[in-house]
Amino acid sequence: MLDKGLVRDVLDQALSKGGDFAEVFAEETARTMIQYSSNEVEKALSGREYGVGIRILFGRQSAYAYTNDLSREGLIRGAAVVAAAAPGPPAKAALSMGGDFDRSSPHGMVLSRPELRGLKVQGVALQEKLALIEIANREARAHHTLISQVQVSYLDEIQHVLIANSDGLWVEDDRVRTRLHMAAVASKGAEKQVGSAGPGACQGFELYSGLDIPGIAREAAETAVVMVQADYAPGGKMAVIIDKGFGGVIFHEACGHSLEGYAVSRKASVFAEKLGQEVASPLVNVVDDGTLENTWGSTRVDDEGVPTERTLLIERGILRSFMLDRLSGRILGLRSTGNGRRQSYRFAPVSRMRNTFILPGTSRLQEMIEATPAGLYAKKMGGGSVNPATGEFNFAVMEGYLIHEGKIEKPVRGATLIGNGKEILHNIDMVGDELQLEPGMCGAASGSVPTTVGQPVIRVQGLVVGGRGRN
Amino acid sequence: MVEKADWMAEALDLGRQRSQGEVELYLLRERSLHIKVFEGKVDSLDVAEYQGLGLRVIREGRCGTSYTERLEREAIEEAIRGAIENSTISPADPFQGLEGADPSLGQIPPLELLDEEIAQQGEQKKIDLALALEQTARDFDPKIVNVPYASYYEAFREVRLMNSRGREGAYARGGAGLAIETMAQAGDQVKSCYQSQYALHFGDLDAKELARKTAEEGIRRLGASELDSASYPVVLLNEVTRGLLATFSSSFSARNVQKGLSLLAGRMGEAVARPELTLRDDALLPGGYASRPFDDEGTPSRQLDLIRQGTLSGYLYNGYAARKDGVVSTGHAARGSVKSAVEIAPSNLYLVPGEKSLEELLSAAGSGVLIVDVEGLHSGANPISGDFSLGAQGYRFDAGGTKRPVHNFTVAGNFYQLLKEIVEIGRDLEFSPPMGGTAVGCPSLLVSRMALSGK
Repeated sequence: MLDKGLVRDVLDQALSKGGDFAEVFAEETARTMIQYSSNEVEKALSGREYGVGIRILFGRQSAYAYTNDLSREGLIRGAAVVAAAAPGPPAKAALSMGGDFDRSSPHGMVLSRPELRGLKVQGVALQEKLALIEIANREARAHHTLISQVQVSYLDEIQHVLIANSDGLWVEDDRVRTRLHMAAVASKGAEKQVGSAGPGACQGFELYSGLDIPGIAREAAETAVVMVQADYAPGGKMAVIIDKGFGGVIFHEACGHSLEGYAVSRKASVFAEKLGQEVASPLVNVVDDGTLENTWGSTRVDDEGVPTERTLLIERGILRSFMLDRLSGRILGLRSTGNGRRQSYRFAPVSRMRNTFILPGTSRLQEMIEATPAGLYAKKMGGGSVNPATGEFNFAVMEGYLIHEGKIEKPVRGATLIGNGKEILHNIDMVGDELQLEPGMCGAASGSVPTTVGQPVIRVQGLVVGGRGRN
Repeated sequence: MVEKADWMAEALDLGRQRSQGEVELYLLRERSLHIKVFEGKVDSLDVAEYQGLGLRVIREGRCGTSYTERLEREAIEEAIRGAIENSTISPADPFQGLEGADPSLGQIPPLELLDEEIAQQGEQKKIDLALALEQTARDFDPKIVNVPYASYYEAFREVRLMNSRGREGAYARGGAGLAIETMAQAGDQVKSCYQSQYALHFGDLDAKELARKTAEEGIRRLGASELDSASYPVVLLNEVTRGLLATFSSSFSARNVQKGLSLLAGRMGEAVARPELTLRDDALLPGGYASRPFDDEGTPSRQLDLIRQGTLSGYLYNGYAARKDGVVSTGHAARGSVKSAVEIAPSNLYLVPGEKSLEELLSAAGSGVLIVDVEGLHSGANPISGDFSLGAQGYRFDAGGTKRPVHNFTVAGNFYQLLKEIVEIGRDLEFSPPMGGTAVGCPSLLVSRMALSGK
């Protein structure tokens, strides 16, 4: 999408003052979105994002500019703006790009087009997408008479990126994603509760032929139906069994963000000085894997052009690695783990999670419930957030049940789980044997990026459950 | 195409020819600067120049939307094709339409929306401001062990709107802000505190004051203990109340009412809150962070009471929702970016303040819990049911005037019940920095009882 000679000139211009590394990230993304509500299309939207971000590093510092003026003048102007942030003579190591971009390295190349990988990305008629939405809508509504509204949204996108830098890297890639999100609303009197589901993948439209969309829609509806008839959750400290799949959001919030290089390099993480130390119960093993085929949070290279990898974060309770981008790696004296990510050219890359999950153990859900005298079974989780500096996290339970004397007693709604990331990992005392992954969107410094959360079912002792019902 | 001064008119003509329908163009231009400092140095400096074009076509009641950030003839033609194609799967809906020419647009008094002085200040002055912000906090007390985030930012936004029914207008708005997070430590406990400041004029930013306030509050939170689970009289600080208000403001959207996604449906004219309570949206508010002459489909701005003295008195409308209900749009069409369709959102939304200071609210309560921070509004709050359960921190206070910090507890309740359980409304109204086209303000509130869960 950009000429090599022009990109070289832009990199040279960006390094004309004191910068020691320069990078160009160009993007063109085509996207389709359909929102469906009240049994009809509410919004049908499509378009093209288009722009370039130019970044330099100088020591531990950085400057970034973006524009959608992709003319030579526009790009050179952007490069001059970032160059000026690093006053001084040009750094010796990066006087000029010099020779050609490196095409010999395995990643100095154009990665294969999605069509060649068998992904169905173009030529799917809007009517076909609409038909898929209508199935989800129909099944969710038919599930129960209490379902009063169903909202479905469909998304597909193909993001073409070009990443080039002053080390000679030149890589182009196409990232294809699609997702179908459904929210069923159950109403009873003045009460309304929502159940949702949102399968998605780094794939084309062929994703849906392998999914049981009616089943997924009915399950979302069932959550809403159960919750609208549930009492409020009681409050207090208790054992919580968090089910597989989206339950992994607990690790994502409670610990994942604190293991991102950005927080660690700003000394704003509870895990900053903890490499090689015990940070979790020996039952806990965690990886962040950007290489899983077709998985929502995967990319072949990250948004700095670094190949993604499977990074072992925690091994039998011992902290083994952070998740690093180029700059935080540089500050910490560690190599990038291929976690440099961004929503689009409008954001400088920072370290972000990819597909992050707790590895399976040996327990089964039924025996975990039976071994719990009193507590909460969180079957479906909502979202959450964390302050990495203090480790304080919170997240919402979408579908929860009280456990009494080793048995599920009744559904409860409105529960929130809070705690501290430093402590929760030590308090995991049972880990299930079946891993499940779920897609989500994660919002942070470099925008909203697709990430996968996941885990087997786990039991955590002594979490604060926030609710307003009576104990 | 965009080299010509009247390229938008040309694009509009092209859209009309191709679609044989009504066409609207929405051009957004943005400029911004964001400076982050860390340990006495510029950590990152980000400069942005942005432009994007949003298109809407309506053909026989079928609406299709598209956008492009590539402003070249070919890309604009593709966007027109996309909007037309999208319209084919939308239902034929007699309520779809664009706003016609409106002479009253010209009668809106000029709003002070843009201070050119901000952009004209030298970059070094802005860097110095961010550095002063960090240093003042670090120097405040040895208990401040880190300032992981200290930043200056400015953003300017220019909107230009044009449609095939003759509605046309443009405005620009901008402002600058500071934000800081401090980490205070005593023993094993680390407490973080985040605060921000926003102003329409560069000279109104006060870095030292913000730094001291943030550091002081961070230190005050140290030594926090857990709270017994119980129901307490609660004072919610203004920063907390405005977050709650922003979260639940979607229930005032007429579209959500029409779709059965708001519990305020069918309650117009009913008492929904304490009689002292008035909730207002005013896009013409002088000095308002989100003030603008017209909304994102060109409807002139006006003041609107959503709740007047406790009675539900208005919903937020865009043109489509208004035609559906047979009323006039209140001017709350919102297109958060060119990439989103026309939705509904508040402008300057605020709860009209009362007379008591925060200290007076605390003494009115006698004893209870002052909540100064909540987490999890995007996940622990259900905008449809009004239920919320949020991580919180604050202070246990008693009639003797002592306050001790408490943390690791949740506050749970229901927004609609809360509106009826407010005992006193404070006078400390403060607005959040604008997010998209919305700024929300609310004073501190005393609530008779709320369920707090801790140990």
